[in-house]
Amino acid sequence: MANASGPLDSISQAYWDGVARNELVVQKCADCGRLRHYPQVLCPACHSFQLTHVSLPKAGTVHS
Amino acid sequence: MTKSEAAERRAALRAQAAVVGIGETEYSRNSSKSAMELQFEASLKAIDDAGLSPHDIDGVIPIGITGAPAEDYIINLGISDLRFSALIPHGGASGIGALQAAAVAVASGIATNVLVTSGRNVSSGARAGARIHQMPQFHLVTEFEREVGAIAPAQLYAPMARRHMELYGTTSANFAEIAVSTREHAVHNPNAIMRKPITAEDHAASRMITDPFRLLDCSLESDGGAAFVVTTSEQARDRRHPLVEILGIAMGHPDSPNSITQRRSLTSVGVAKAAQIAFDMAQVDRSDIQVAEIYDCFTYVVLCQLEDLGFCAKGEGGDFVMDGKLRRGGSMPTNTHGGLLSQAHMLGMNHIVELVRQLRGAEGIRQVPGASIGLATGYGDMGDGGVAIMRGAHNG
Repeated sequence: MANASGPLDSISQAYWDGVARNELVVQKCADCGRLRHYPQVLCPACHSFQLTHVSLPKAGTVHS
Repeated sequence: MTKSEAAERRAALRAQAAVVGIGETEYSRNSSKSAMELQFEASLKAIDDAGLSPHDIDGVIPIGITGAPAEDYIINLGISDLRFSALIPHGGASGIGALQAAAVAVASGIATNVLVTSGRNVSSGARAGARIHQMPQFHLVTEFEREVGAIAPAQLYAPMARRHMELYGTTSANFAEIAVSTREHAVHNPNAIMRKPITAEDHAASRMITDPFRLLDCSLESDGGAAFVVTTSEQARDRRHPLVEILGIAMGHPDSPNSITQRRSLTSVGVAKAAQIAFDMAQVDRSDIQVAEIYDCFTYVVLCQLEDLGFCAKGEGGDFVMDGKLRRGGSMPTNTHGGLLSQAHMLGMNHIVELVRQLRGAEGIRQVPGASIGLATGYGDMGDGGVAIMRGAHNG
């Protein structure tokens, strides 16, 4: 699955590139290490602009 | 500034601002007028109702994206000196947000008469499922959720209602009571679009839109306009209508304001943060509220807000509504105009207009006897919330 219209914002390009590889890619704060999704400009915890991306495991738990 | 200092400053705003004029167009499914025409028609009615001339308006807050911006009012109303305008982009919470901004503007002397106005053709024009994805505040929802089928509000809100049912045992019969009581009020409103009485059985038999919402859980899509004028309580005295002033008002937003899926709790909305602030500022208790106009884009959203407002505990909303307290003659008649479910979807502007009517005390067949203190909420853009507590002077 890919968004028919493509990324709406450059900060989400890595997510959609991951989708194309069948990977779930999320942002990780390069300073405090917090994971975040949906993509954002700032880390909500430490307000750093610096980020990397990580692929999440393909197994998880359904919350509800 | 400490929290208590902030509370003191809010308390100083209590009973300083009033809604002095209200106006509504005919509500319909096909207005054959432009959104701008509807907005100006409602505006002129509200200004006239206030006993003012259009030239007296020096503040304008247009609501929604389909009508005229404030600049158009300078030309069309002949405003010689527009001193205040604002954009409040909170969907159905915008009316309360605008009331708050207008109250602050007039109480501080920034403006004298602030017009808050809306006009929309969302029945004959673009529907909600298309509209929301054109709004910048929903870019993450559009990018990540529309692709998996969460397109229209019914689909976006359904998980909130289903989660509430799973956690607390809330049932579709609880939602039905809200649909039925709201329609019961609309039957008595000549300007309501849906006036045929319905029963819980009709609700249960209405088609499923998106589980758990049936057709009769969903609000209308309507054409029309609604407006009101805010001035100081001092200036609002001795006008043609009894004084209706703002006692307490507050806004609140979920931590994930637009994306419901990113919230830690699915069963609480922005009103939960605003409620206590508004009640404290108003210096009234929940038991003082005699009439309520609660934003009702879906039946469940009323139930959820009743809890978040503190009328009952979280999870008890289903039982809370079943004794008929929301109905005509109930202990807290709610959505006495027929709400978004049965009157018209006017982004909650119609809730504010109706509350003012009730607190003027001359509503006729719809009048809640002796109502002098009431509450209106706004709810919009997936969870933004607002609470206004108002008092009418007609009883004392």
